[in-house]
Amino acid sequence: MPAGLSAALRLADMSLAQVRQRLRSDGLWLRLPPFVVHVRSEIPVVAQGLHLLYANHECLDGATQGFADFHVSVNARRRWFRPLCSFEMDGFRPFTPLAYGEAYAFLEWGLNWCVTSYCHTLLTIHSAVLEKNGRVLLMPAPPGSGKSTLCAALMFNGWRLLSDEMALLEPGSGLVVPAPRPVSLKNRSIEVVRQRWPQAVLGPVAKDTMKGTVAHVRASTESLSRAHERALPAWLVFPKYQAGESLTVQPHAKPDALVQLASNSFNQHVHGRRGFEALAALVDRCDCHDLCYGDLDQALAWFDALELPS
Amino acid sequence: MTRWALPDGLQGCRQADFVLRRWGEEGVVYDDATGSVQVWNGVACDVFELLLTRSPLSESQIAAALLPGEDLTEEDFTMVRQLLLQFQSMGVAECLPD
Repeated sequence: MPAGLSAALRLADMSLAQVRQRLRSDGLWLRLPPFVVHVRSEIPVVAQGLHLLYANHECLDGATQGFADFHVSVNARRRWFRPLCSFEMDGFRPFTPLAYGEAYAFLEWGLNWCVTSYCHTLLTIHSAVLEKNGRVLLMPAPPGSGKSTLCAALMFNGWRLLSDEMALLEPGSGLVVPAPRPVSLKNRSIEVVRQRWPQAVLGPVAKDTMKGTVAHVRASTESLSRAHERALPAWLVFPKYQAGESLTVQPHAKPDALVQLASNSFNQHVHGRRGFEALAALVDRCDCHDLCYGDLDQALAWFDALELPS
Repeated sequence: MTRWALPDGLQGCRQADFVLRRWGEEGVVYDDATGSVQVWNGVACDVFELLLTRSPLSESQIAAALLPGEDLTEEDFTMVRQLLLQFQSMGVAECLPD
């Protein structure tokens, strides 16, 4: 058992065949902190992806658990002619079906959608989130900015992953709630991670998706074992990858940082004034930077030298 | 004399419900009625803070508060008037009847 994890049953304790069987029948009840998710699927690549990427996540007994935040499934549609798959939550299909080969990625995207659509006790912000020395780094950025590559690189460089996709912010306390799940890599970054960190556990590769080629990498054991530890933000960094460019860092004006955060929030409007004040408090306690990088090593060195806000 | 104030919810206007957070020469205003978030420059923030704390105010009172001890010119009044008209078009301030 990896250090720091509880003795509870984990997916790694089950064989792939057992995981596949459970997914086909009653489903798997997984603790994906801070949520419990009930997953069903008859598609082999979903079983393979879960078995690889959630190996250290706790697997609950469905008969006694009784409650899940989300009941989801990914199943086949049209088996013979251009096979497709569809994602369901509580019997509802929020998306048009995707190619069968994208089934695992579809599950990950669907889970993200569940959280951003229904988790309104917390403020959700589209951002990569990591922690070091007790303080949190947020990196809100649009697709193509190199956010996920940086996120994976930082995780392999000693930072604790809180989330690759969304910051879950408690409006009252200002603490960020960890939700460590696999990091979504796209296109060239898959090979970058595979070559630089051979120990990285990569899941199924989905080609020709709307985001290009997609693969997920398992969250570090430390990230998962400390998933109950919330922390205060200290740095807000807006990254941008520019091939061949040297590293440049500029301060990012706090008023604009707040507007950017608000526009990256999925549910600030639900929280109203309280949500705005929570985002403003976050900006207030953070050092804000624009980071342009073309070399991962330079970027990692800069992140490691970050000092706490004065 | 024309006086300006934040919307008070009377006469069919909406109740003012704004939050202003300032950092240096800029600030961000949140409008609870629409959920909009906007970056404002320092002058706009100053005028808005005046209206938040001391309205109703005339244009000359606002100009005098912005430039204390200075001889005010027509250009200063024009600048304040234009800003207030912008506020009015945004629903942030209203011009009170004489």
